[in-house]
Amino acid sequence: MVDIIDRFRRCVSGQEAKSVLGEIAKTLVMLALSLAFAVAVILVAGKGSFETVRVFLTSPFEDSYTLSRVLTESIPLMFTGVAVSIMSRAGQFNMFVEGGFFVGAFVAAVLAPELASEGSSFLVPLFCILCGTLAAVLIGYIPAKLKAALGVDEFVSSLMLNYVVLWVVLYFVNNVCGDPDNTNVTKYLEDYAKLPFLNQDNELSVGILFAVLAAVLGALFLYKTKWGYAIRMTGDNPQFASYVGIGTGSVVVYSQLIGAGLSGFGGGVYLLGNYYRFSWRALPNYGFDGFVIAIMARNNPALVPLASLFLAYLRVGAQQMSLYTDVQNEIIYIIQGVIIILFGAKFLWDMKFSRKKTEAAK
Amino acid sequence: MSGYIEMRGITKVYPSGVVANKNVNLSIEKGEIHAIAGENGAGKSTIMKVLYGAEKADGEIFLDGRKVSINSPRAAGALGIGMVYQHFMLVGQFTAWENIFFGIEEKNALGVLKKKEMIRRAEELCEKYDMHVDLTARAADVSASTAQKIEILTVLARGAQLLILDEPTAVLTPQETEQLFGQLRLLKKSGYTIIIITHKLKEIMALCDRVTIMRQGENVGVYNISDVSEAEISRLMVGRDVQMKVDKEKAQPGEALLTVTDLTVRGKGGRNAVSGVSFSAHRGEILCIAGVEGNGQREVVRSVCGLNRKYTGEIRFGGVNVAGMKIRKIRKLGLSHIPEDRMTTGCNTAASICDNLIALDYAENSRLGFLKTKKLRERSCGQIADYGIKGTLNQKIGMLSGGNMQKVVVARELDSDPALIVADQPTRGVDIGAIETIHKRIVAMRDAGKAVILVSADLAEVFSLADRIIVFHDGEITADITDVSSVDEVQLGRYMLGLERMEVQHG
Amino acid sequence: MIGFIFSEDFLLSSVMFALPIVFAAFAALISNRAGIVNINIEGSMSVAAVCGTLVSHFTNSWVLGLLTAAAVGVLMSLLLALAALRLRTDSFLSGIALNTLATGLSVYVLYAVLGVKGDSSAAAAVAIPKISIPVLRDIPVIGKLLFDQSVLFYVAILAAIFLSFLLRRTKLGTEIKATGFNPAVAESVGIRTRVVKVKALIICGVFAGLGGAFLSMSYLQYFSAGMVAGRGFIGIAAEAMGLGSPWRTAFFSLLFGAVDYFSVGAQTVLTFPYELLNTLPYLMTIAALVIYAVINKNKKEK
Repeated sequence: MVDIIDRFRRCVSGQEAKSVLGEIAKTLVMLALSLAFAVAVILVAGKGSFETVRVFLTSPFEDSYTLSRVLTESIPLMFTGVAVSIMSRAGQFNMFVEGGFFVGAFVAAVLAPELASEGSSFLVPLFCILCGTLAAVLIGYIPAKLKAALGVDEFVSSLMLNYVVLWVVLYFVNNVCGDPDNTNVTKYLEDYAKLPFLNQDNELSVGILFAVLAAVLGALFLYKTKWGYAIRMTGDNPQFASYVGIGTGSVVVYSQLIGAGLSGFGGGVYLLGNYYRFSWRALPNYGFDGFVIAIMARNNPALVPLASLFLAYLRVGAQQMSLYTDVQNEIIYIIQGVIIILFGAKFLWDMKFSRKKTEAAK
Repeated sequence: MSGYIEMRGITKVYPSGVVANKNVNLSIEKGEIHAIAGENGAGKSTIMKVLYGAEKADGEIFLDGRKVSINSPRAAGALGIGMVYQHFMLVGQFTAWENIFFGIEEKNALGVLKKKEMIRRAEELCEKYDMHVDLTARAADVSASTAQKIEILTVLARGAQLLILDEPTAVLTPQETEQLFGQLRLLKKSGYTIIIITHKLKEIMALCDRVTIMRQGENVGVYNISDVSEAEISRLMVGRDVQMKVDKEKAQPGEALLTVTDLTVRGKGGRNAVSGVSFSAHRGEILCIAGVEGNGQREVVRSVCGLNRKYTGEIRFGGVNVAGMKIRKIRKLGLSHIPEDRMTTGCNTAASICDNLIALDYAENSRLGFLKTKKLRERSCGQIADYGIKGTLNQKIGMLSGGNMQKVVVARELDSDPALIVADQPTRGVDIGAIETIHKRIVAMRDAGKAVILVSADLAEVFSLADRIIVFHDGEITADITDVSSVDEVQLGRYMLGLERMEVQHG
Repeated sequence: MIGFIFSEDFLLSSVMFALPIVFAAFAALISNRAGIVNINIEGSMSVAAVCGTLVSHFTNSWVLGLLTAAAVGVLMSLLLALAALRLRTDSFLSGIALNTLATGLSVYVLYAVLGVKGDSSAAAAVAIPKISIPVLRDIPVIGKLLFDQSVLFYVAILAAIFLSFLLRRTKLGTEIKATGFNPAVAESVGIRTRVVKVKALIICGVFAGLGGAFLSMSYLQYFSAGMVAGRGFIGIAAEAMGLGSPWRTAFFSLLFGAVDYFSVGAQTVLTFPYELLNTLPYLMTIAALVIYAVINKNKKEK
C-alpha cells in the first residue's frame, strides 16, 4: 500500500497528491458517517437491538448467495448511476432515467418470450434489450429536444413523462401484450429467454459484466473523447462552451439520449437477468437511485461500481434485516436520502482536515 | 494626531494566499474628501471593504479615537459608514424608492410597509442633495449615473456620515463626472466625509483635499493635494515613472478583412443599442474601438463574434456573410475572441488549465472521437512555458490569479492561428507584468499581418496600441481617427461624449 | 360528454382536485421567491398526509390532524433548510434526497403505527368538514362553489390573499423578494438571507402540509403510499406558469385540477382505457411547459 502511494506521489505534484488523498480520506469518512447514521436509525427509529445491527451489517457477507444478491442489486444502480453521472456532468437534471429503465425493461420482457426459443443464441435476449434501449432513447428525445430548442426545464418535463410512460406501459400490459393466462403481468420468461447466468445457483446473470462495462466505457467516454470533453465544458460553464464554439444545444440532446439509452439498457438487462416477468405496477424508483450513486461517485462513471456495491450492500443488509427481525427495509430510503445530503454537502467537502490527520492517514 | 477614522496595522491575506493589504495605516479627517489612489490590485478596494466591514482583516480601527470592531456592513452602517460599490448594489426589480429604503423600511408594528411615507422622505432627500431621480422607475431600467445617484441616496438615507465611493467615475461621462463632483462638494459642505477610490489622477487633483497612495498592498504615502503633483502621485503609484509606451513600428495596413455595414442591434427597452454602424478592420492594423462603456461596443463585439445573431445589417468576414452562422464556423474562418469577462465567458474556472487551453481545436485533435491526449498535453505544456503562466497542466484554472488566467485565455486565442483577433478589455484587472506580455503579443499579431480589433475603456491603452481609432457614442460612431497622433485625450473625450462628430468615411 | 364537462359536478370536483395542487404551487411560489428551489414539496406532502390522517384518527380531531400535517410540512422544510443552507448541499439534490427519504419515511411511519404497509384505511381519519352557509349555498352555479366547501377551500383563498399581501406590502415580503432577486444586495443592507430563506421555507412547509392533509383527510380519509402521485411536481409546474403571482398560480392550478378530474371523471362517461386517461394531467403539464416556453421565447425575441 505504502509503495503504491509512493509511486503515485512521484507521478503528480505534492499538492495534487495531497488533495487526491484528502478526497479519498473524506470519502471514507462520509461512508463511515453514512453507515453510522444507518445504524443509529435502526437502533433509535427502528427500535432494533444490536443483533439487528449485526444482521444488517454482516448478513450480506454471510454466504455466496447473499453476496451474489449484492452483485445483482448493484446492476441497475450501476446503469442508472452512469446515466445520471453523464447527464449531470452536462448540467442536465433529467429524471427520465426512471422512465427509461421502466420502458426498457417492459420492451425486453415483451419481446424476449416471442423471439427466443429453446436453444436460441444468447444474442436474442441481447437484441431484445437493445430494442428496449431504442425505445428509451426515442422517448428520451422528447425532454432533451424540448430543453435544447425551447428551454423547457428538463426536470419537470422528464418527471411528468415518467408518469405518462408508467400509465402507457400499464395500458399495454393490461390490454395488449400481457400474459393471456395471468392478469397484469407479461409472459413468464423461460431460461432460454433470459440472459445467461454466471452462476446458476445464485441466479447471478452476466448483467453484472455489462454494468461494469458500462461504467468503464462511460468513464472513457467522459474523459477521453471529444464528446465527453464537450459535455464537461458545457456542464461546467455553458457560456464558455458556446463562446469557444461548442454546440451546446446538441450536447444537451446527446447527453440526455445517452442517459436514456443507458437506463433503458439497464432496465432490459435487469429484467432479462433477474426477473421472470414484467410485473411492476408502479415506478420502481431506480431513477432516483441513480442520483444517489452519481452523487457518491461525484459524477465519475469510474467510481460508479464502487458506489453501487456499497449501496447494494446496504440494501441487501436491510432486506435480510427485515426478514429476520421486525425492522422494515423502508429504512433504506431514509438512509439513502441522508447519503445524498452528506455526499452533496459542500460544507463537509470544504472542511479542512488538519495537517496531522492527513499525515496520519498516509 | 488622531483623525476621524484611524486604521492601524491592517493586514489582509485572501485564502488563495494573495496578500491584499500589508500592515496598512490610514487616517481620515472629518469633513475632507480623501482619495485612495493606486493601480489595479494595489489593495485600495480591499482596505475600504475592511473599513466597511465587507472583508475581515487583522488590525485595529478607531472612530473618533474609540476602538471599534466592524464585522459587517450592517455594523459599519450603524457607525455612520456607507459605501457605494463599483458594481451597483441595487435590486434591479425594485423601484428607486424601494431600493433607497431597502432594509430600513418604514413599517407599522405588524410589519406592513408605509409606502407613501417612504416616497415622501425619498423626495425630500433628492431635493436636499440636488439629486433628481425618478423614484418610481425600476433600478434595472435607469442609466448608470442615475443608478449611482440612487446608491448615494441609499447610503444617505441610512444616516451615513462617511461615504466611500469605489471608482465612481468609471461609468460616467465627463459631464456626469462634473455633476457628481458638484454634488460631492455639496455633501462635504454639509459636513460629510468622503473617501473616493480611484486611479484617475486628474480627478484626484480636481476634487480631493488629501490623497493616500497605495502600491502592492502597502500605504506608500499621504499628501495634501496642494503639496503634490500629478507626476509624483503616478510615480508613487507605479513605483517607477509611468511608461505605457509599447514598442511598435508604424502599421502597414493591408486589405479589409472584416467589413461591418449598417449594423443595428436592438437593446433593452426597445432602444437601439447600436444604430447603423459601418466600419472595417484591416490586416496589419490595430483598430481600436473607444468609448465610455455601454455605448454599443459590447453589442458590436457580440454580433461580430457570433454570440448575438439578432441584428440587421451585414457583417462580412473575409468576404463571407456570417449572418446566422454558428460560432464554430465563424471561428473556422479565422476569428479569435478575447472576451471582456474571463471569469464567466473566457474560461471554464472549474476545469484544468489544459482543458481550457484545448477548447478551440480539441475536436480536430481527435481520432475516432478519442482525444489525442498526449499531443494536446504537450502543446499545452509549451504554451504554459511560452506565456509564463504560473500553474501546472492539471491545476484548476480558477485557482490562478487574474493575470495568469487571462494569459491562458490569450494563449488559447492567439495560438489558434487566427486572421482576426477581437480583444475586448484584454488587460482589465491584470497585473503589470501580464499587461506587458499581452500588449506585446497583440502587436506581434498585427505585425504578422493579422487584423486586430481592440475594445478598451482605458485611454492609456488606446493611445499606446491603436493604429486607428473609432469612437462609439450612444450606438453610433462619432469619429474615425486614422492618424492617432493627431488627437489628444481631451479631443477623444469630446467624441466619446458625442459633443463633437467627425465626418466618418466608410472604408 | 359535453354535458359532463359543463356540469356543476365537474366544476365542483375540479376545484376539489385542484386544491392539493394549489397548496403545492403556493409552497413552490414562496420558496422560489426567496431563491430556493424546493422540489421536496412532493415528499413533504406525503409525510404530512400520513401523519395528519393518523393523528386525526387517534385524537378524533380533524383540527389536530391538520395542525400536525402543517407542522410536519414545516419540519420537512426545515430539513431542506438544514441540508441546503447549513450543509450547503445543492438545493436540488437536497430535494431529491428528501423525496427519497420521504418515500421511506411515510411508509415507515405507517408501519410503525399500524403495522401495515400499503394504506391506512383501517384507521380512517376524521374528515376535514365543510363550511356550509345557508341560503347563500342555494344560489345557482356559484352557490355550492363558494359557500359549501371544505374548510381548506377557504384556507386556500386566504392563503392567496395572504401571499399577495405579504409579497407586496410587508417588510418580510420585501426581504424575501430581494433575497430571491439579488441576495448579494440583500446581504449588503444587513439582511441575513439565510434567515429569510428559512422563514420562506417555513411558510412553504405549512402549504405543503395542508396540501398533504387535503389528500388524506378530505379527498380520501386515509393515507395510501404513492397517493401524492406527482401533484407536488405539478404544483411546481403551475407555479412556473404563474410567474410568481399568487392569483395566476391559483388559476393554473385550477386548470391542472380540472384536467386531473377529467381523467378520473371521464372514466364513467367514456369507454376509453383508464390507463391512458390517467396520462392526461401529466401530458397537460408538459404541454403547458412547452406553451410557456414558446411564449417566453417569443417575448425575448421581440
